[in-house]
Amino acid sequence: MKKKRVQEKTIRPPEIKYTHISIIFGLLIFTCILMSVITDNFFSTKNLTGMTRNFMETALLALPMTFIILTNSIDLSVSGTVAMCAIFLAKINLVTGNIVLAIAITVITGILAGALNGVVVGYIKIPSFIATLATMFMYGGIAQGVSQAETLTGLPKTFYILGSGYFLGLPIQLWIFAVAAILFSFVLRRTEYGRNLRVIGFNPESAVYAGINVAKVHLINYVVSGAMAALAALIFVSRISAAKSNAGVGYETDAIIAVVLGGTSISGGYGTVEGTILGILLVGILRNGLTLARVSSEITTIILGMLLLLTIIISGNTGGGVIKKHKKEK
Amino acid sequence: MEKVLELKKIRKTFPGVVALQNMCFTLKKGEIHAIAGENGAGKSTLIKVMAGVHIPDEGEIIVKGRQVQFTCPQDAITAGIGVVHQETSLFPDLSIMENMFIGRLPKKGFFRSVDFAKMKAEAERIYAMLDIKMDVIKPVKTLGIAEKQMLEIAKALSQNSEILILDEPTAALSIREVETLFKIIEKLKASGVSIVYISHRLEEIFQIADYISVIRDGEYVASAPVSQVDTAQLVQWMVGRDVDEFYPKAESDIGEVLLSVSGLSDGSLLRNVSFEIREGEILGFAGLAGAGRSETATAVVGLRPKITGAVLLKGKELKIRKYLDALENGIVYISEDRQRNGVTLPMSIKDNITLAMLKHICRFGVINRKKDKEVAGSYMKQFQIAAPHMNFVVGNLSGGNQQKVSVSKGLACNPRVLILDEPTRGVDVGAKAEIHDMIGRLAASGMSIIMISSEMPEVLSMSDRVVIFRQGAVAGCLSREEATQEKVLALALEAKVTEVQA
Repeated sequence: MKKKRVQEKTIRPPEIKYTHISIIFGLLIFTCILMSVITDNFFSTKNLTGMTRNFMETALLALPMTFIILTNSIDLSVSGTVAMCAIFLAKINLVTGNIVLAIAITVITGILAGALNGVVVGYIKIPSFIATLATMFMYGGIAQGVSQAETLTGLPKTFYILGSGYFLGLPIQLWIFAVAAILFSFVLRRTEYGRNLRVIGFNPESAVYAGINVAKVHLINYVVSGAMAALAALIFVSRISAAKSNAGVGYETDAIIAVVLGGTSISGGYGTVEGTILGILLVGILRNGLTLARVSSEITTIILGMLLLLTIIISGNTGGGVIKKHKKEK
Repeated sequence: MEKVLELKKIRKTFPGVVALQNMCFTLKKGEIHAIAGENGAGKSTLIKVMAGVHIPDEGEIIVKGRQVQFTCPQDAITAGIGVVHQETSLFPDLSIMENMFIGRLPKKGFFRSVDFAKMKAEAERIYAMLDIKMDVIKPVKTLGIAEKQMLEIAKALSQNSEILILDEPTAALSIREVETLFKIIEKLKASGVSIVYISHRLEEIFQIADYISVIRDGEYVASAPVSQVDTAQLVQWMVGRDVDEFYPKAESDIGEVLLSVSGLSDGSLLRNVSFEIREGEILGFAGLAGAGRSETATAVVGLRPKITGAVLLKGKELKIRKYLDALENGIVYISEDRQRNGVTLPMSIKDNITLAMLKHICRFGVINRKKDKEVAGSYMKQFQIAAPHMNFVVGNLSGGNQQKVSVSKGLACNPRVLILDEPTRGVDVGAKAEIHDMIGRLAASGMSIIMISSEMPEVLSMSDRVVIFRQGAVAGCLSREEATQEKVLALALEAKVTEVQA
């Protein structure tokens, strides 16, 4: 029996970091126990629902972020895209009174914003960190300019279902996330696209030598990221029933922390969608629980930063992995 | 004449290979001493031993009568040995003088600030010594390759080098630049500097060197004053191996012309390269490193941009813009640098093997996992890839097994034309024989195979025809019967065949 287990362990696919995921899983359980001790109402239905609603926008962004980080890139612009989409949605609704048109234009805006990132990173080959930092300012600036720093309201009541409605007793956005997460997981595990993502992350040159169109993969990744940002913007506006140009501030960092905590290597190649989900849960629970325990949000951010450093150091998930070991042997 | 550098019975091994053995070398004061040898003969390792980069396992290094032990490159510099490398290691945005003194900038005053005036004067003095007229505060990125090369020489001299090692200094230079370089070398020689000169170009050695040493397979072969040897003698020293004992080729029926390439140029190295290959034929690409063999192959399959040139498959012109276009037409290239781009080291054997052909086992982009395993499993079995299971990480396999994975990846695409670039580089003898056997069988099954190899015996014994490259162009094409080691080497070195035969 024991022997069989050992054998199974060795034939696991090498691109998943089991040690890291075990650590995160342990941390998650520990955090839940901690929260139930230091707060009174962490496990109340009301709190859990509120927490889910508050964090699902970041969670939706973390999914495409996983793919982008897998290819050794980053998308800092998502917060700007969310703000821009949120403002466009409210503004167009105010001007035309047509919510369907407003939603359509919002989604198109998100896709175009992602496409610009994809072209700049994939085809013009500007390092993604700089490229998306620039577009983050561009998109965020557009949001500020269009809104003139005002809070835009006036959306139809029916639209609020998206952000505050229930389906089978659970918040609607949780269902949206669940469907998206299953889809992303499937793509990464089972499709050609998913395997190409890993190859590009591990070694973009060997990807080219296998006939993979690397630039196109980057483009698709960023377009998906932009579309998900538009979706997050819809949910955001619906949830708080207004649009502000500071919508989405800090979403990109929380999403990146969730992805990296979840075991995706910052230098690409290694990682799973399941890990990202664990990362999202951990970040979400920490943020919510510590707020309940009256810890200020600055302290929470410091704790998250420390946690990120510690998990990376403990699990040794600094990227490189096999290659690094290999070079040493040589 | 006084001996300035002497190497005695040097032995250097790397894991699994003996790079140098019983190597002897003597350099006299004010002498230009050329070192010649085939690709992989051990020239680079020898230079690195002299420069303190590699520490020899056995043997003595004697500098000016004193036995020394280099533990790092700095030791060699201190002992007065300067190396001008093939690829320059200059900082493009810094000035000439800063590059010359980088790491040991002259300092002055309490704050140890950089003494630019002193540095400028020093740099100008060295340039004047070499008769180079140039503003030493110019940034290096504005210099041409020849000027950079001269800066490297000046840099070595500024470190008070009495022994200068020039590794292929003319590889990237035009004829006029070579002349200028030679004038500088003569000048150095006159001032008492001893020079070790490495070059593939035999006529340069005859022009400039006083003495020549030939090495082969990591061992010292012979040395003589240049005035007393001729090309034929040199080539014989460099080859000196019995070909017949290597790799017999399997018989195959050679059919119609399958792939023909004509007028291929890339604007930098390749000039009007043309060749054709028939079904079931093994076409060898021979030539020196950098002669354009791999460049031709990668340009044909769309991995390297080309300016002109037509690629015809069965008489139909193909439009190949990217590698995928070649793959879809059944032209597969297997890289020479398997660690860099031949395989993806951190991935499993299975994922590597099916990587390039994944499209064919996908439906709507979803991988058929059963077929994925079947394909990988069949190649693992066929090539006897030594690994416990197919999810084993390729980076942990031996070189030979990694190469088998790389070849499997190519073959899984079902190629009609297979281009193998250095298929046996860095693999052990057993794996080598297996790979040769496989190449023979593939050709016998009707596949057209282009084999690029720097190992002369391999090219000669495997190929039906050999195309010889020299400086980006086809220097000649020999049939199996015509091709001898001497003729191929003579074509590759641009020496005249008649001269060699005489």
